[in-house]
Amino acid sequence: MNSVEETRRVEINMGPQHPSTHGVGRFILTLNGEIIEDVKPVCGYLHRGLEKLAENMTYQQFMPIVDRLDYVASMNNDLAYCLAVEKLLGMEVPERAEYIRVIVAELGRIASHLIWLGTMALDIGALTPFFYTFRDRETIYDMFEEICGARLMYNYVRIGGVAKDITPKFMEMLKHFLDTFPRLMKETDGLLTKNRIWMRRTKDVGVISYDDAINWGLSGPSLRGSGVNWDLRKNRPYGIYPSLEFDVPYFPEGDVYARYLVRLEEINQSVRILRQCVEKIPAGEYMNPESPFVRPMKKPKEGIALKDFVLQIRGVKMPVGEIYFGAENPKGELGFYIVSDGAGKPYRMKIRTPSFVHVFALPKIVKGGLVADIVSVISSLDFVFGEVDR
Amino acid sequence: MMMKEHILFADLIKGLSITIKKFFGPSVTLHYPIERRETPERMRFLHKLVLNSAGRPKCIACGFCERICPPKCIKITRGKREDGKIGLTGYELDIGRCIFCGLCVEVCPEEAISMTDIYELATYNRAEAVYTMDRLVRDVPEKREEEG
Repeated sequence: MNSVEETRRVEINMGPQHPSTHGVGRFILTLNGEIIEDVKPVCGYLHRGLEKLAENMTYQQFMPIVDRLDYVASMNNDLAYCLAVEKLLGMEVPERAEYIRVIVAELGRIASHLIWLGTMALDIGALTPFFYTFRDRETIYDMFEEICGARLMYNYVRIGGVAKDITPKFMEMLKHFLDTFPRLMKETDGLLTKNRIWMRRTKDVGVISYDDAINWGLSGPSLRGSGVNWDLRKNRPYGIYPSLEFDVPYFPEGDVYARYLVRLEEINQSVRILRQCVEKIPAGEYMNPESPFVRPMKKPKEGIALKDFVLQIRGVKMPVGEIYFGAENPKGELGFYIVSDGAGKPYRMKIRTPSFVHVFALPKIVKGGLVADIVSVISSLDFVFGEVDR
Repeated sequence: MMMKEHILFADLIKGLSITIKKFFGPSVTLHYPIERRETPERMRFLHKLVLNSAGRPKCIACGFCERICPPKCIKITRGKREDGKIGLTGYELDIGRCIFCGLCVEVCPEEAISMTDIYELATYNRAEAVYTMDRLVRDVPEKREEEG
């Protein structure tokens, strides 16, 4: 017989069609009254078998598929993948291309953080910031559309450079954006940061300690929210990041509010990086002319030779070897582990996605908390299910 | 300080003042079917087969685009054309499968395929979404026509 004090455990499903699970996430919650006793993340609703697809595609063909990992920061995915393949090839990238890459990657970071900010505010109950952040995000998407012709799935960064040179109009838009955006960002900041409802919902909620954050493999802003000073752009530098000045924000509290502050500050740092890039961007090539991949700078009327057919059928021959490359994405460390057996297609490709790790750190963070807090914790970890399920 | 802010509702007033300011500001949205955005030159949407001076598709049926297309939505048929030469006889493009990555345009050695800015591609059935060579040449204008 149950005593009066003992309540029944209730198992409820959160998702896969829940508005605040950011996609098709499903969490099985075990509740004791209002206390969460257990969370079981269930993934696989968006599984497309990308790692297997990679084995049947040439390195160039896989580019548009990489866009579909973290679909709100496609540029950063492209960059991480290209850097991984370039590491395997040992290929150099022209300096202008490096600058263009940093520009688009930082714009992508801002766009991703803006979506996160808007949707997190929406989940917690503040409707207004959502519209403001999406307005700003739209200007970034307009810029991307100007240089590559797509709004969400860019397929712009290429192995050996970028697909097309940036246009003067893009530079104008970028300068205008850098002039106006910090002021617009202050609006959102003013709406949320010191707001008492916001602080009540986020402070001391979903705390994860310094050690736990490292042990559970968190990365990116979620890790820095626990006071770990770790940024791959600084700690394992790639591209031209070492020559740029920026700070890595980190806050020791480890709660939702700390993760919020980290991302907010990261937006400002990205703006700072962009300002330096606009000043320093050199003239020159935007693509390594020796890159054997799709020929963006081919001359018309050159005709096709037999070797082009061989390239198309077999793919570009790669060196034999295994490499791992991790890049700092808006969500965390996106890593590509490529095993090459010398053919034009990867023998095996493992994609280490930050969101997947963050989803499975969720039980650690929310256990013992209130059921209302799980929404803000989910938002603060900022995962995208395209990345979780791959 | 914190206490004083709490009593005076400074945080809420700050938030509300931003909202009120925006209420009288200009609007940022468009009335979509009536108003349309200007599209940039590099827009990657519906494909177009480019014609040569003889009024025939430039395509030489090398099949590069067919091979590189990640979702495999292009289908090329080669055979004897009506003028007796062997070449392209059919070009089928399934817009329902296409992911608009633009690799086909990039890989084409003859620049025989280009992308336009026609983005309203919804159809009532799947058969309509398949563009044959005839449609890709004839029905696709160079640029989207502006409607008055």
